Amino acid sequence: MANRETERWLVSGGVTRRRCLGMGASVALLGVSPAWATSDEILVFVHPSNVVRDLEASELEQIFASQRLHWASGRRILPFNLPPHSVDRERFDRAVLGLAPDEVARFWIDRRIRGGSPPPRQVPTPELAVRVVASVPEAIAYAPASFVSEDVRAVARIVDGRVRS
Amino acid sequence: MSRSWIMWGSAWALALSATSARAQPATSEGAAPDESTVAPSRNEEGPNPKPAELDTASGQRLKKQAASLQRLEREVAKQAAALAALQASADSAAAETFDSSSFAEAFRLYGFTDMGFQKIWWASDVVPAQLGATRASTFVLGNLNLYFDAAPLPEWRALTEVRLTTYPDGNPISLADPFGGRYARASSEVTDQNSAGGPWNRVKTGAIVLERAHIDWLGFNWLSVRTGLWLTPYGIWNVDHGSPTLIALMPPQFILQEIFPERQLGVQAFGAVYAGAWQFGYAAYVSNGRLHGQQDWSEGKMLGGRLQAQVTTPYPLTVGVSGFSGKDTDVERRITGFSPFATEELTTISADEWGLAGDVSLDVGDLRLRSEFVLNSKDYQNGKRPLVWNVPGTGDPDGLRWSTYALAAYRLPWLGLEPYVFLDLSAIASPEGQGVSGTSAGLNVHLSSSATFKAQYSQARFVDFVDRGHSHAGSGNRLLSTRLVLAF
Repeated sequence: MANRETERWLVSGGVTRRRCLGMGASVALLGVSPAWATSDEILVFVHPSNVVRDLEASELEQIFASQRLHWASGRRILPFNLPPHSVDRERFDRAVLGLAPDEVARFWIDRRIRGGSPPPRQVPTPELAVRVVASVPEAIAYAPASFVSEDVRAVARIVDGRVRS
Repeated sequence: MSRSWIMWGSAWALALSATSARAQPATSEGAAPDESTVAPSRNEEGPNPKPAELDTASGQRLKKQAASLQRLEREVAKQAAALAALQASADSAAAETFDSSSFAEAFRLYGFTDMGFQKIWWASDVVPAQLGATRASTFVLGNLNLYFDAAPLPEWRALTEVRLTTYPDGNPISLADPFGGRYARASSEVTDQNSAGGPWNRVKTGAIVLERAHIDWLGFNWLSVRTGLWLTPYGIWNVDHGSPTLIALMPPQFILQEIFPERQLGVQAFGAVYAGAWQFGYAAYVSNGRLHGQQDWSEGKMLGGRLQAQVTTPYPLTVGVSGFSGKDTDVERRITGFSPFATEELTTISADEWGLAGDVSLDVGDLRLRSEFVLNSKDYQNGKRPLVWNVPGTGDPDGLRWSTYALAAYRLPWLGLEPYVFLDLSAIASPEGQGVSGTSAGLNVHLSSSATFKAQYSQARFVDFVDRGHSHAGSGNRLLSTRLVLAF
């Protein structure tokens, strides 16, 4: 029951960008950011139990375009996106998929019409992305470095619009 | 909903506390004081008040300040209680855990629709112009396709796509002829017996076209299995399939003539392996082949597949080859006796056939290039070949048929405009010529990511590659077609 309620909340999309930024500021004030992270970085992270150590740009693209569906272990990949039009989502899509926001929407319409796999699920905030990945071994998500805690493991970084392992 | 408000409130409270924490030292370091501290300082700089006036003024100010203090104390107490509640809620949320089943997306419904306006200018004497198509301009209901996409478990998916139509109403059935035959169109009109208006109300029923319906097992990246009715995995057009995704409106001849079967009923394995930025995909299938009715009429199953290489950097590029081999068979049954009742099965169509196809798709910035080549060979048994366009006295010939197209589209930086040119050539014999050539120019206006206005002007001609004396070679039609397309 609790999970269902959480899921409804996750997909409700009711959290605005302003609220996300507000929460981001609050978490940053709590001092969660790793010492080596810079404020402009986006980190892509997985569950600590995942055997994957790093991911190339092409692998990230295949995962977040719902083309590569399974981890090497055979388990189904559960990718999570931040909400469309959030600053970090736009930065991620440009760096990983090479697409601007309107192109991303068009990309997923094309995929749908062709019968392709559905897009990644969405989490409303970076903070929640971290919590979800920390709890789900199959999950992968991304968030600004200041949100990322030691409960997850970073496998790629996006700096200056480019993916770095 | 309430939880998101709670989190927002929590963040706001934290931000407030941080702001005040920063503000205090700033004030002590000589930064501009706030209004409450500015007022007394003005008084100090003015003329000295008398003692009685001072007492009265001070008393009033003290009363005000005391009231204000009480109000603030109440507010602080309220905030403290709210903060405690938020903390409790945050602790509870932090303790909550997720698993993969928390994110199962059991069912999605989506689709697309398009409708528009078109006119075909027929050369007056070619056969298709005489079989019932209108010569007038007309509004048309194009597609209304719905997708039912169910994924009850992570590794399982059932996808059904249906097209809602108003067919068969209005479909020409027969032409009037000098021997008493009458012109007839199908009618699906029925009395709306459930109408509150009584039995006078009439409605036209429509038909549902099953575009695809299959179950997928998504076991591994390199192996998934699909069973049911699926679109044949070949080329670009047959997979792109819907008006929101296709660049051009008019299909190439190999789609119209179905040189490859458009969809098949059977089982298919598919998957992909990855090497750096490259993705190598495959599909391999066994099926009933071309569908004449609901079941296969021979043991000769169709075998086919596709190999595909795809990369997205530096430019999105996909190259694919596809092929199939199988039998095309249809039968009819004839009663040969009544006591006992007996029938015999007569084969009406019997052909061995194979097909090969190649396709390339390349995007360079705003330029989109697409091209396909499709080849098919059919070898009929004598007397077991279908009519061409249902014209009596004709028979689909043995031999090779091929069809190809090239398309180039460029997205301009203004108003979502995307003009394109489309060239189509095929060698598919008909009573009017050995093949058909098509030349088109079109314009897509991308109104938003999900809405597009499309227009295309085409000229198609029957052609003879060597002079066979077809009287209509060089004739054909011109077509202006428009559609407003919306994906949802």
